[in-house]
Amino acid sequence: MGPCELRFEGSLANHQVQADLRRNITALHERIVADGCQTITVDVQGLHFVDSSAIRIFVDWIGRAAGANYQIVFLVDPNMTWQRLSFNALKSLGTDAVEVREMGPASSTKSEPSE
Amino acid sequence: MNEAPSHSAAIHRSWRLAGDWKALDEVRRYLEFGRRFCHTACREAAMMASWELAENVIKYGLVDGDKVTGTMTIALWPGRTLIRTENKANWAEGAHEVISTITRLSTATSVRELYVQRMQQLLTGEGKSYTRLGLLRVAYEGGFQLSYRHEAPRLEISAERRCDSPA
Repeated sequence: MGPCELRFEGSLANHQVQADLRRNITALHERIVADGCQTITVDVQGLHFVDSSAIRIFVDWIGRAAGANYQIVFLVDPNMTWQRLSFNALKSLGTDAVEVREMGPASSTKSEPSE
Repeated sequence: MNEAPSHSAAIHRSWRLAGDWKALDEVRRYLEFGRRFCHTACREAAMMASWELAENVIKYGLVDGDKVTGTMTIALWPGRTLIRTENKANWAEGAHEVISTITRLSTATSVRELYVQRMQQLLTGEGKSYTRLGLLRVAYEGGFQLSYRHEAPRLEISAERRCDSPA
């Protein structure tokens, strides 16, 4: 992967891992700005479990990206309910700083939550 | 008002929650064990919901002795899952926010809208010291109906969903 691409795998529900991730995203953000990278592609398809604090990390990152005029493109697996729904919500934040691309066919067997 | 899991629940089990998260490994194994009652999407939702509800207890519960403690019960019926937590909570720092969120969820025309709204608040810096996405996520992503019972300082939260469609 090049310098403007990032891939997540595993789970993000451990507070120490989340603290490390926050630090790494801060460093990455500074690098993106310094390098003049316009778009960073973030592949989260391998991220099978997160808690709401991890989703908060993505929200905060989108805020930083909006302030620095670069875009984060999330590649998501639509067969994973949390990815399909939470990234769909992130896409609705009304900022151009986030784009979500669903990779692969969506499953027709999973139930949607009611609203 | 919440009802106790009835004895007609196909299976149910309780755990003591503490700050070490060990109970959640057992919850995961229990949901795997109960897979005949709970298809894949339902198990994913139950795991997420049990995690978020446990976080709620540990983050906002009253310290009892030297740490926060509470209990979690999961009851599985064919096509129905119930997750319940019980703990002591301080009104100003925990219970009030939880009850307010559940009340808003129960009257909302769109749970998704509440979830996006909270994300938007975090993005603009409003109420940034707490994430407060957990219960919204349980309702939106997990499709659970939330309810509560509060007899200060005891706070009980129930999350229930139907699991009709098999994986």
